[in-house]
Amino acid sequence: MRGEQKVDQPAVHFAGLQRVVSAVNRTILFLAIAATPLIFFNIYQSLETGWRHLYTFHSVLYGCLLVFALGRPGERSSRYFLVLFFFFVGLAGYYDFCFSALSELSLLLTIVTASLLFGLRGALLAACGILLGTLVITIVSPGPAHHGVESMSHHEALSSWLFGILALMLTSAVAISLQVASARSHEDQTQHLRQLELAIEQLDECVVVFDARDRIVFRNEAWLRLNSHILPQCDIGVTFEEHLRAGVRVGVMVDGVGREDEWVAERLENHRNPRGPREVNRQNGTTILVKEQVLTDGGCILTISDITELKRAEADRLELLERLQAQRDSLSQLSMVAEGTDNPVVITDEESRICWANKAFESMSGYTLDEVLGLKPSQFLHGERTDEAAKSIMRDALARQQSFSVEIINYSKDNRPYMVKIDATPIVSDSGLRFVSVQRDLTSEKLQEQKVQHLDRLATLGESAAKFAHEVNQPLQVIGTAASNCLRFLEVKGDTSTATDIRNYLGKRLDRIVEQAQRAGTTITQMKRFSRLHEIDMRTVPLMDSLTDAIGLVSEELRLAEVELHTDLEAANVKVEANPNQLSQVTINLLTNAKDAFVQLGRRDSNFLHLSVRRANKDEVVVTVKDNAGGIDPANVGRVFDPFYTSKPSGTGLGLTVCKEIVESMQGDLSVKLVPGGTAFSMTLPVAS
Amino acid sequence: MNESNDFSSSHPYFLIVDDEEMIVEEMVEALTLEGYNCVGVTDGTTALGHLSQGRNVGCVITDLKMPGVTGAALIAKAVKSLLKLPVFIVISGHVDPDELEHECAGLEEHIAAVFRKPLDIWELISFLKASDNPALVQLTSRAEA
Repeated sequence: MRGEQKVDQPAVHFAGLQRVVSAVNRTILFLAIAATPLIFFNIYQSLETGWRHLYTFHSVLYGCLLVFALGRPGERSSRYFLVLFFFFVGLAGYYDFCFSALSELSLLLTIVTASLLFGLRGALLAACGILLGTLVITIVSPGPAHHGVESMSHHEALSSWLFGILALMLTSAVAISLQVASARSHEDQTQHLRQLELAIEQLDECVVVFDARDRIVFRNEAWLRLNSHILPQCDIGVTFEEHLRAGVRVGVMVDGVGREDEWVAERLENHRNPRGPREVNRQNGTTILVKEQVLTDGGCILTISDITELKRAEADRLELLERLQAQRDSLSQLSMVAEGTDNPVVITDEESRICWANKAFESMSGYTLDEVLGLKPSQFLHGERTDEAAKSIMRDALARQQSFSVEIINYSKDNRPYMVKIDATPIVSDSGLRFVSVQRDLTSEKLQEQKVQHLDRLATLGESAAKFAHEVNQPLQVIGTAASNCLRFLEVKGDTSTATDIRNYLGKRLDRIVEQAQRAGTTITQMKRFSRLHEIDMRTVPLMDSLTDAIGLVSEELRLAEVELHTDLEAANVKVEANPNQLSQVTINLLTNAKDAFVQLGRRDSNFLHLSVRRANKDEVVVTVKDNAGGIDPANVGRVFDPFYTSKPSGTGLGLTVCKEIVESMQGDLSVKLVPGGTAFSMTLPVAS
Repeated sequence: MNESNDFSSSHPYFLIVDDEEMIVEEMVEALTLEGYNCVGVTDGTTALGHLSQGRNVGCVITDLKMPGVTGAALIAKAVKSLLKLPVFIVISGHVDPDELEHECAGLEEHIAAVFRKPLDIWELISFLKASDNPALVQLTSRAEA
């Protein structure tokens, strides 16, 4: 639907020319008005009576027009007046042939003015009028002789008329070509306008043009689409208010629903005094941006763009920003954690080069991040005691991009070894594969462990050393004293005693010496075996040996505590798969625990401890340590193997826990049960095949 | 329990206390060979009996580490209950000197000497012979006399 323009605009398309013509128009009008009475009277005077009627009629018309022009000094009336003035003057010359040149000029001016002011139609009309008028006058005229003018033949009159016609045609041609030119430019302009209209149609933006009275004079397809629900109220000529009200009633203009008048008034106010683009929400959830601009002629041009997408994008962008901010916040929190944690954290890239490390790493390793950025940890952290196995575990895991966990010895910047536990996880980040490793300095832990172990061992060794020393002292004392006695005997009574007496005396003592020497030897052997505590190998060992070692070690203690130890070791003649020292240790622990229980009870008549071995089945052998120390409190029986549980005032509570672990590591089992009057600990061990 | 009866109980004698019989036997033999009066017991209680029954114990040579009444307990009890105290000589099997000190805390003034295990019998005998202690002099000189 093409918009049609019906506007009050002069049909002059050269704006400058229009101004000139206006000026000329007014000048001539003024002159014409001033000259009119003169010309009128002059002509009237010169006319014959017969012509005076026609002339009068003509003049009356002219006068009416003059009055009309004076009364309404608009462009239109003055234009008519101008053309007719020339026409009248021109024709008047023909009445009595007195202003030939002037009349020709006037007639020429008539055509020109008519064509310029009224276009092609005006020119043609003027030409026809002149033709008709002059023809009529020439034919009807009584002849030139009648007018007292120098006689002119009809032939001359006719040629004069022809000449006039030619002049007329010439001026018509000029006028027409002028008209055509202006029409062409009009058409060009019209074409431009058409192209502009097409372009506006192509826009996604809605464009509506209102006139000074708020009526629609132009609107594009887009706007019609936007208002598809109220198309009747989108036609040319509909006022904006009608359109708005229709919109509210249908419910398309959401903001006005429920408050039609108020909203319409607001909207019209904005329309007439636009203060800038506004957002309006529509019923279907879309949002539009409305821009209005007042035109010079009082009209308004309104453009509407759909900004729903824009708004959504904006909302998305804000949401994304929020999310990014939140991410950034959480990242900065994480990095604070990573920075602040006491655990060293190192991030390496896919080539194991360090990209980042936290302060804890710097203080543990002694290197600053700057020093090690871009280096591979293995280049500077590994040393001679770094375990190859741990290194290869790391290498494999890194190559396969899997997480790993190793305990490894690293060397600090000042070449101090420390043990670290590394837990590393691969993470895919924006910048590629990264390994994040969280570490823990085990050195102090391990040291602590070792210290405890060492202390334990020392304590045990200390005790053992004392025991061993004592166990060796006794025989030595006997040997020394006995030997001394032998010598003294020989010295003092050697001469006076019989050989038999001597033999008896010495024999007894020498036997004793030999026996005690053997005793010392056994102790030394036990001591040697016990000193190999650092061995962690599992071997096939005779159970009997471990048990007798243990018994040997605690016998002194038991004696001091007046505990009677009974043994039943027949079934102990088997081999078990065990760490012999650990096995002895467990046995010692069980026996010592019983002894401690007896000690806590105080002096009693009989403290019995029974160490027995029995073959449960062809695969298992059970070593039982049973005491009559009254028995553990039934409530606590289940807790004896718990770490840190102890009933001793100064116990660590770890002995039985460790024993259970040891026995279980030998694929055995350690259990406890109450027996009448006491407690029995049973160690089940698999028999070596 | 060994008791030598070949001297009259009114004479002062050495009392050897150690829980190991063989040690007591050899020690008693060693002192007897020197001509001293000597009796050996294997527990602290019996030793206390000797002391409290008014017997003429001139010197007690005792092991410290014993079950029941330890050497130190024996000395302490004697100090508390006896009017006339014998000379106390202590034989220690302690590895740790602090432990020894701890065990004999408060009794130092009554202990004439401490010998370490394994005891060198001749060291003991030399000490006895060389001592100025009147009781020891009496014990050791009697034999010579």
